[in-house]
Amino acid sequence: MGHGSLTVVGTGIQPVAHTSTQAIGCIENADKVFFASSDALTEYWIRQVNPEAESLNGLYDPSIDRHKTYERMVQRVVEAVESGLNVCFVLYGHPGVFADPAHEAIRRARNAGYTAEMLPAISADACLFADLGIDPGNTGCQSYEATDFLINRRRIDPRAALILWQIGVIGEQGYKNDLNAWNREGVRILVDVLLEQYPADHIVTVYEAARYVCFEPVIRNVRLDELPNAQISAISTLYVPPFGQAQTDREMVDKLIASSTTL
Amino acid sequence: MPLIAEYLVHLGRHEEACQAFRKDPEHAMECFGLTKEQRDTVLSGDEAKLGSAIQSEFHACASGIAPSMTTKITRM
Repeated sequence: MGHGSLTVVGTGIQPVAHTSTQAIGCIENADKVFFASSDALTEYWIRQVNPEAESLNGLYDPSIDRHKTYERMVQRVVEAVESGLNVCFVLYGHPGVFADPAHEAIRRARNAGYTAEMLPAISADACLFADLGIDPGNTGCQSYEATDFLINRRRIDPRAALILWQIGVIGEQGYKNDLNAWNREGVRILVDVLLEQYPADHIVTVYEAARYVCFEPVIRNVRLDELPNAQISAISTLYVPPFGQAQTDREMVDKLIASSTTL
Repeated sequence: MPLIAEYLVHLGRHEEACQAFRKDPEHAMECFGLTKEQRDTVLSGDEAKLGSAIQSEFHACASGIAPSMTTKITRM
């Protein structure tokens, strides 16, 4: 038995189609594979690649605080590493985005002296940029989890694009397995806050990446003030396009030009 | 064999299969062997319905019952 190691990989948003060759190789060659995915196709496919793969989905329980669920996941994964196995931990999307257990498992494995790494994968924002035809390099792009955006009163620049994640579960603490169980009142509160900086008729987009290769993404354009009446699910993301144009700082431009010519 | 899952894995692995699906989904799925009911599920655009159908096929295969004989669909 080897010394033990941990590799955390993601399947991307669409299992198989979005999963990198490198990630597939890790799943295939690992001594032990753990995966956390509520998607039946992902489960089927991962078991095809590595029949010894073990689901951690059973640890989810709507009556338990999700942090406790994550702690149990981390313990299972790290214990396997400590037993000397080369472990692959598979998560949906990008394993490092909205995935506390992935970062925590790596931190603990490293602290215990084991090799641990994370491989990048396709995340929802990558799909959003492609599906909505947005280049985040043009105006800049601000990105917040919706509840975090509200409770921490994050400051935004409306002249840059804004992405708000998980607008359907604003204020929710636990885990829900019903995509339609979303918090409409939370969306009303979010809209009130956004109306402080955007006009009511600003067109925003409710977005959901296609989770299956045979589906199209959900793209619903609505007026900001009508967002609470829009069809939203627990996995919806809100894209708010820039409003207004940034004023170029001529003094800064001159300073940068001067700095480049002094080379 | 859970045919819907097999077909989606096939689409994920082969870009030409994806192109054939986008061009004529009914024909592409029929050639793969999907029944009318399975094709309708794939084309429904309903993520929950598709997930349930895949899950149902697993249970059917595990218990030796043909997928078409299953009626109860459970959500994950």
